Amino acid sequence: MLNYFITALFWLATFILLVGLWRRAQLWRNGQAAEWKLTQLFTIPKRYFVDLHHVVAREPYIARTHVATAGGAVAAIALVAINYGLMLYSTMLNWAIVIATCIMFIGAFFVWLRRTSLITNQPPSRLSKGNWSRLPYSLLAFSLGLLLLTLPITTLSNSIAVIAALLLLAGSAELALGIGMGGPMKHAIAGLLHLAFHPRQERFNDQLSTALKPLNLQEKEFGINKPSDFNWNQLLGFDACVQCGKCEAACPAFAAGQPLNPKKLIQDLVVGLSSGTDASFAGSPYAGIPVGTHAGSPNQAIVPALIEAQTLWACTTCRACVQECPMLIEHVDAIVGMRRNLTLTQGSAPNKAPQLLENLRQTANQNGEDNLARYYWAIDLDVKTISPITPVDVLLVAGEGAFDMRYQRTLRALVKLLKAAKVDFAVMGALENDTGDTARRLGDEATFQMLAKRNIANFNTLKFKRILTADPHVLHCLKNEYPAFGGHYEVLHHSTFLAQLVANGALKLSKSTETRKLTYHDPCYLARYNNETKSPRALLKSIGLRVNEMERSGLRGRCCGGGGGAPLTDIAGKQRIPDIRIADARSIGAEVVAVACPQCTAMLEGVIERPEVLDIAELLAASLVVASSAVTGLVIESTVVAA
Amino acid sequence: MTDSLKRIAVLVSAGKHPVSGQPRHCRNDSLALQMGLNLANDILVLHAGESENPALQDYLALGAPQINVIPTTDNIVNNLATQLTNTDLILSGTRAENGDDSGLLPYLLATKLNLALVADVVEIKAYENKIEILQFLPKGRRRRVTVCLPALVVVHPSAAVTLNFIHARQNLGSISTLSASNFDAKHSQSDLKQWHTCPARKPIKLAASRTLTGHERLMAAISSKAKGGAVVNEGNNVEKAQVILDYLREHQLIDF
Repeated sequence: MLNYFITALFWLATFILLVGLWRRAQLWRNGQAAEWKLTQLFTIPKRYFVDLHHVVAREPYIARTHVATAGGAVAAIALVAINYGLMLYSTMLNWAIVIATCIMFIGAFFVWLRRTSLITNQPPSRLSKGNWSRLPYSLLAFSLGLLLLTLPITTLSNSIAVIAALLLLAGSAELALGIGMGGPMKHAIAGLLHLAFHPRQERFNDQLSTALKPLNLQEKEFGINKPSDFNWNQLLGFDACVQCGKCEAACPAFAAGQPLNPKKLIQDLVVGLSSGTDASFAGSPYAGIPVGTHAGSPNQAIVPALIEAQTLWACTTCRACVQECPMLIEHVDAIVGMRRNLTLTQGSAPNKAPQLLENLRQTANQNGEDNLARYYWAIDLDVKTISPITPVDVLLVAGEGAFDMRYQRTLRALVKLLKAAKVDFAVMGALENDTGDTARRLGDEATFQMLAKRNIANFNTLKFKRILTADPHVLHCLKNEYPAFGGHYEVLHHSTFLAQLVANGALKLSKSTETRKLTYHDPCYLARYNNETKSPRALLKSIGLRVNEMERSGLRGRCCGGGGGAPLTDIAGKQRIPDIRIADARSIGAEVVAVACPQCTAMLEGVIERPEVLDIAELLAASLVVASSAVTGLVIESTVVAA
Repeated sequence: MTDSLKRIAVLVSAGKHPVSGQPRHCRNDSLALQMGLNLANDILVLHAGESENPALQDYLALGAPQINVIPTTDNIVNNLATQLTNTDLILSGTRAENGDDSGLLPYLLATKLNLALVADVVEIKAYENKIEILQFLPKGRRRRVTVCLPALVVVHPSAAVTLNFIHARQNLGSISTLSASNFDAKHSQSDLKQWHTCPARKPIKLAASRTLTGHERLMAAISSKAKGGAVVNEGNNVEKAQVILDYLREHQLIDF
């Protein structure tokens, strides 16, 4: 009798789940076409156990809990499918089910424990409440019910059997209805499918995949206006979200009290793809925007009915959310996609952004300056300027930082180091245009593509082996985003290149005289966008400086607030992002913050009470062997020139 | 937005970035364009010059639905005038940044069409057969003037309209060239002689040179009192003009 009940329930639940999946798939199909193959389904196990696990394992508590809960559940359901689905009713398999459900029960208990105040004072605020608070009970009910019913004992009293059956019914409802009704268990099915049909397949081949996808402007592709403008696999990705809030905890804009919460953003897009309001969202709201006031549907414009424009403009594109997301969701692609539509079809980037974009269109630099002035800082350094008839080994592309008097000090230090290492290099001179990085992050794909094509045309007239830059934004653009427009170059950040010079002995450095406590701030566009965290640290170590790591560093470093055009759109918050970063540095007592990016330098130096901010190149130049006896910068330079 | 204005025309010129020299929209004309768009959806946008000029793409992005390009082979004042009969309101910037459409074009055009010209306009409100405009005056002062239509309005650079560069509009708008045969070449030959070109002159300030003692300069710098001069309220127009003439002769600012 009980056996038949479980069999019937299993097939009923399977049927409901498949119907639910079919219904959900109809919603994903509202999205645009994207390439996919059914065979991609076979990639799921590897991607789940390797790529996804790498992210989840950063938080061991929930990793272990999830292994027990999901592992136990999958094993139990698979065994039920065999034993009851195929109506074998074997006692041995029942024992196996008992073991699996026990493991699941223990896992579910710890899921429950995390959401109570028993182990910590308070469950983490990043977790969503609402139906996510129900989930531990559903899981406990499912595992307990199945455990009791499959116990190979025939002496279950009727009342216990009825209770167990009800528990199993409730738990099965959660699992089977999740995907169709958009409940918490939606994540299991959508998450696995998202792993297979992920929009950035390269991520699973040990490749960095951080470049934005180009728009075909001739075909009138103007970004994301409504949820159905996303590719179907992006919509699927939003549905994979488990609302764990790790993105929220990592988001610099959220921490600064700006109206952005990546978790809410993804949930809003889920609302958009499935039609409804955000009233049922039970997590942290966007600062200053009450929950329940927005609604959307697949063919309705997202901004401002579903998401306010200021939410999109608060993002620094630092990719901390993408780095943290255990479901490998691509938040930044979604945000830039929506920004593109705002900029290209409404011209509505806020504050200083339109002026900057106009300057880029008219002068190919951000502040409307004379491009001849880009290398004025090098005028007394006897530096070659590249031309079509003068091939060089290394082409130095300074970027926008070259107009900034603060960053000119860094560039001068870099030139000093290159000369000391006898590198054959030249600067780009008046041929250099802005890379278009900021324009692209602000959604102005038209200006970006115009600048990219112009730069590539200029590069093509020149002969060089490598491009060197001190600006990680230039690095990212030239190295990762220009290939889509036919510009393939070997591009190196100055930290990478100098580390090579130190390693092969071309650059001789003495121990640094710097005695103050030092930390290193990882630029997002160097670390997360280009996976370069080692060279800056190796360089600092080579001159005898110990790096005291801040609370967040390396690939998980905290943003300075300077990326993605955020200083231009300048969305108000409770505090400024660089203040938070400097607080990180001060909390470990750092007196010097080493940096490797002009944006970070400018942002961190904008904090009034702060440690000294010095670029790696400046710290290294101060330890040049030839200059060890020299006192002033002027003397150092003349020594190097003479040498 | 109002229906009381039947036909609005905006004159736009090709600009050049002062630093990079790259072709671009002339900001002052773009303000006029935006003012026109705020008044009516359907406006006539005219440019005298080359239709291939990249600067015109900027105007499309800034909202011009269609740009009609007029050839500059003949006198452009006449060419423009033939397109502007039956127009209620003509808008333009104060002056173009370079080329044939610079100089006193709005004034010549107003004379040719026998229209009232209102300069330095920062705001326009439209009514039946007339407009109320806010006119820029120096030192933060503004003047409200009611103008009967038709009229030619020259927009001041400080006009409070926001420009909105929208890339998608570049694809929506179009540029069409009006062929030279549309224009009567006979007239223009004689008018062409009226154009005098000469290098731009630095404006001469009509101010008397004063020799002040050190103490006077100090007092002028630290006191907020008016620095001399006289306000003439008495007498008729001729007497008032005589006072000014006497002043200019006394300080040798004129020689007649």
